[in-house]
Amino acid sequence: MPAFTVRSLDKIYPGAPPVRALSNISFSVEEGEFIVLLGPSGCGKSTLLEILAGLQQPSGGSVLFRDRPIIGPGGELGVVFQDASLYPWRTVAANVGLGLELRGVDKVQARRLVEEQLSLVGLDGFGGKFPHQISGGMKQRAGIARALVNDPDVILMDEPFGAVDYVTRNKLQEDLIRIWQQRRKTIVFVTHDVGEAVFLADRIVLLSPRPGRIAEIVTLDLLRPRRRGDIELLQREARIYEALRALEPTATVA
Amino acid sequence: MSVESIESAVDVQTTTDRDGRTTLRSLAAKLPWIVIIQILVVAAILLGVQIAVDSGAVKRIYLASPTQILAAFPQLFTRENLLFHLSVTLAEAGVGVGISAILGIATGIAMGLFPKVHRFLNPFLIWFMAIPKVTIIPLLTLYLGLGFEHKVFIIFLFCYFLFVFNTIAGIKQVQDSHIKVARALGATQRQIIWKVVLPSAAPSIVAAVRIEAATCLLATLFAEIVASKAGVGNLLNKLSGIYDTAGVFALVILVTSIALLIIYLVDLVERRVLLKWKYV
Repeated sequence: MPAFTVRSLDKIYPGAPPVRALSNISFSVEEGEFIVLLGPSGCGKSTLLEILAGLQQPSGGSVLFRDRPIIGPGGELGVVFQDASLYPWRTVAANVGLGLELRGVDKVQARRLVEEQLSLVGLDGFGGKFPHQISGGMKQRAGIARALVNDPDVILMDEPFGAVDYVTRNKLQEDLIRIWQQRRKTIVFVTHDVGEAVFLADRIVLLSPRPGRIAEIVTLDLLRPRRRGDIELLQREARIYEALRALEPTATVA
Repeated sequence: MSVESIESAVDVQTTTDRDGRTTLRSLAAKLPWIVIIQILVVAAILLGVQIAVDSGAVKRIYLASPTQILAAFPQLFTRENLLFHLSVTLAEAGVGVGISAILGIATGIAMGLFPKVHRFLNPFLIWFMAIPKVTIIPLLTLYLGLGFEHKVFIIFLFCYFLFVFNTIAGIKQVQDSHIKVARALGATQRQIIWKVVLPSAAPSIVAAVRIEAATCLLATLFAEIVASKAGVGNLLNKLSGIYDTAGVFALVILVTSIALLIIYLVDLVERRVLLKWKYV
């Protein structure tokens, strides 16, 4: 049974004129799979992720999570957002523990679970800091810890490493792979960075813009652990760049 | 000279985090310049007033000399029963601003969360807020008398609206992504309000508290000066009525000190409790 099954999904934002964000999207995500939604801006990849999270409703078609329709966000999925979206008035530990607090988990157990997540993402000793006291990379780590704290089987990530510098991003990607392998999670990861997609994914769902539709699904049968700069990795990257270029509307000279 | 003084001012600020010895030396050597000049300015003004009054160049009903003002303080406590008047004023101010805060924040939350409540109440609020308070004071005196309730109601008119509108503004400021985070973790509507919306509105509400802390004292004195039986404003009326200029100056200094103290205390509570996270 796949984790997600998406069938002929449409998303239209009402208005004058209505905006068609997603059109006829069909794919599935297997349990334990690392799937990347890749595409240029405006291809609706974040919208698609929010529909999987239950934060938005589809306009047509069906989305199933373990063969059941997604009614709304239920807390069984972990979601990591673009800008970490930590609450500035809470310490890092209190941010990470938010999910436990909402479920009413007892305080002693919650503290232990929070410590566990912090150490998993490499934030030992930073629990008492406030978000404005830590770096962008550390904020994303805290965001990931917050998504992990309820121990969800599936984690949805919306361009989580878009705002951090190159070196930090590489480190975060490697740590994410480690966490994914250690915890046997299913991950749906949105990005517009081809290098990132090829380094992380089992499969890449390539989306084309306006309206967002699936251009191609690329299966990466590359060995793990992957090494950056590996010739095979670079060849895959080059092919995806080519596919992306083919998606661009041909420029017309006015 | 000017370049040097700018450099030295910068030094004082930056050397604090280098090492202790240079900090102390630069403080001792450089900071006092400004302080000394400030003290000299104040001293010159006080001395000028003292001489002007003592020599008879300015009549005593217009101005009081620093020594006369100092001498007026003990008399305020003994002859005028200042502590009683002060307790009346502070009680009125405290109760008035307290009621304004509770009702104002509650109204603001209701309006911020429910658009229909906002649409219904907004025109009424704007009408009430627009009434120049002075014009209805005779009516209020007729309805509520000269005492406590009269003052509390006037303070309420001064303070309520800012609490309402700052709470609404704060609630509007909540980040979409912060709500999404909570929803994705399975939060109920109620949990979203308590754990996301209200904490997001807190800085804006605290800003209202900060302003009202000074405003409530102003409103109380205003109401007491217009119509009252007791309170610092009442005493002020009495003293100016008998041309006790030194007493009036002493009262003004006292009230100013109390206002400063209140602002300082609010600041302290903000830093240590309400918005502690901002200051670490």
